[in-house]
Amino acid sequence: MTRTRIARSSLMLGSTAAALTLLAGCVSGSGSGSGGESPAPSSLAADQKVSLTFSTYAFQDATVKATEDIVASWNAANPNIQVTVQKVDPNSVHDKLVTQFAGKQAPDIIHDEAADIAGFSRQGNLADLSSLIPADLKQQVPQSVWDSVTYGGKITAVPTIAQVYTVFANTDLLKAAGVAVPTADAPWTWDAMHANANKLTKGGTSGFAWGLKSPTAGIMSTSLGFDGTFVTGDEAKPKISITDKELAVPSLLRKMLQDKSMAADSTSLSGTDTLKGFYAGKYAMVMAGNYVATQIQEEAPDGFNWTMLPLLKGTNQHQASNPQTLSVARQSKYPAQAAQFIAYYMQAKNLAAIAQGDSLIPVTKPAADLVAKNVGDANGWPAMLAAADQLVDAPWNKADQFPDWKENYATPAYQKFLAGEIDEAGLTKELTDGWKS
Amino acid sequence: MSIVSEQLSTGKQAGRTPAAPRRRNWLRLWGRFGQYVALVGYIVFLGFPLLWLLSTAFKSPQELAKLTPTLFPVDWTTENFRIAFEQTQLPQALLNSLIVAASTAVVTTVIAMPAAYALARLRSVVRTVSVGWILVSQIFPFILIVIPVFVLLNNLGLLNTLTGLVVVYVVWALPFTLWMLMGYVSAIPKELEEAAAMDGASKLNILARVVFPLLLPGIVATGMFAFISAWNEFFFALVIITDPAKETAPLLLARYVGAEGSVNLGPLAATALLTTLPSLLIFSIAQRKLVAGIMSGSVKG
Repeated sequence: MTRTRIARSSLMLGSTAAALTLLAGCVSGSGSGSGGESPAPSSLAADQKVSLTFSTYAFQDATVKATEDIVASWNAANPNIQVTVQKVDPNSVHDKLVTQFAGKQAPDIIHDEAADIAGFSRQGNLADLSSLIPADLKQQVPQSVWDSVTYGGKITAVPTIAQVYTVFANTDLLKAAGVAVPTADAPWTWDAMHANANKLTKGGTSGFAWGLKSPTAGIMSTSLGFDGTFVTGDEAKPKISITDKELAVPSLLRKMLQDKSMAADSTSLSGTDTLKGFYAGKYAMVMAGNYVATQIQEEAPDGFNWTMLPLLKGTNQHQASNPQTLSVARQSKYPAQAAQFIAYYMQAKNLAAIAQGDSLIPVTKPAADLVAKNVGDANGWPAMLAAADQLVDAPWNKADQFPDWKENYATPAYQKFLAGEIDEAGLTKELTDGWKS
Repeated sequence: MSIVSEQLSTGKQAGRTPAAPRRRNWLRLWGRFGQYVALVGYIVFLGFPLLWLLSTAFKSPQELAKLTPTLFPVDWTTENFRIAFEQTQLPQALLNSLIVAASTAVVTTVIAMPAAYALARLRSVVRTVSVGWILVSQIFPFILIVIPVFVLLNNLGLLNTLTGLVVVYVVWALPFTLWMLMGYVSAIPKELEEAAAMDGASKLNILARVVFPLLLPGIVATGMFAFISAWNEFFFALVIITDPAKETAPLLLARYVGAEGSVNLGPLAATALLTTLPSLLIFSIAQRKLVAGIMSGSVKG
């Protein structure tokens, strides 16, 4: 969602200009106050009608339909609380919300992702949902995932579906090379993946490819599998620490590029651009967000056999928990009713439909069980659904400076490292200096 | 010089005379051939993206996912157009875009025309200040003003309305259109207006019968600029419009692009193709007027 996002600094400038406009007296004094207290659940008269707006960036056709179905069934069952959908494209969510919050016109219910709501949470734009989330829903989501949407002790979002970076394998090529597909009980380590990529590299086929045009998110998430947490200390202003744990994944990738078991051309491609080469047999395995499973199902040639592998293991299989989220704007007049809708959205049947549409992992156990029942054991889905337990809080997502550091320092540094322009010491220096600047 | 040598000299000239024009003809032919080759190359360069868009719009997801793409679809499909029409409000979005772009073009031109004439013809401090302000206004990045604009539109009750969008586009396009039209006005010889005045024409008559016909190409060009700017604009529409029934075409197109580089390419191409057609049509009509205006101006001038 960060691909074409307008620089936050520019928007901050815009916000300043807006503040000046407000000072000039151009704005009426409507809307909620600016304090940080939790919203009081509003009580309604028996015949009072409530209208809620729900901003969503659902992208895949099946997810769009599932979202519309959820809203339609809610509206049919709740004639006094009607929800209207506002669609927004995934790359513009942040920019639109910034202006909507500034103009006191934010939607009541907001679909976003954990990494993006950190700033909005700290600025007091999102309601504290701690007291509005039903107890059973609280128990259905792993605590590590709740941690990723807790800012300063306040839960400002309900996590819905999550993404992991996983290996997609062409099972025919694996079979031809005598490489067995790993099981959830015995996942490949990164070194085992490297060894098997070497076996698969022959003729015009590269064993492994990873679209690393924007390398930071994937490398940092998978580095958690080596306990690489990158930052420590204060939630908003942590300190950076680059050790062997943080360097394990990029160092292995560089080794693979050097021995050609990883396709060098893939480092300049986006996450989904590698799929054409995957279908054509140019790459035997590709690393990508598990959401590309939907795309593979839609466009892979007939007879193409593939599977998702269990998460690669370093010292563990952890990856960053950056789930999609549903929040309630603090400006909303009806936070309790908005929270009721979110609880409905989170019901197993609804969340399973959303997760299946996006090929992402539902964060609640009942929804995951339902998806497992619906999809069976095709294409490695059981291992993928089990990955929900491996999601851990990524502390960098809550740091104020992370978006700027990621775009201006980390991404160029990783690109230079993978291109062989700097070594581990150089990478460490650029990542550290960038954080401190 | 003797008679013989004179005859020889004349003979030589006579012998060379047919060869030189032949060489010139060949050179001219090669030159013309080169011009046509360059022209064809230029047309291919300009037209290829449109051809590729057309081809992509008729390809299936499987064909679009091939590592080696073909220039034309192997199996033509209209599925992308079905998706474009069934899963989005494309006709409504195109209508909204047309209303907004046409209104912007008309309002901008109507405001810019008298202003440009006044600024081009009147010599005073006001002109210097105004022209300076127009230039300064061009250096403001739109991101700087988007939140204040949002707040103002909200207070005026114009948020989530096509009228609000037109107001913003007119304000945004006006400085440049004013600048463009000033150039066209300055190019009209002042002597023509003086001659008309000498013949007894009133100021209004001069404007309507002398200046306006000569300014027509500029008005058309300015209107086209304002139209295309509004037709293509995305960001203001993104923040101002929330009602799906009021969305413009660029908002619809953006929704085919997902996170991390994923693109729903077939429906995107189909929608982009349909979105381009009205614009192309208006351009082709306006182009004729533009040429007609130039001719009319040259005759009168």
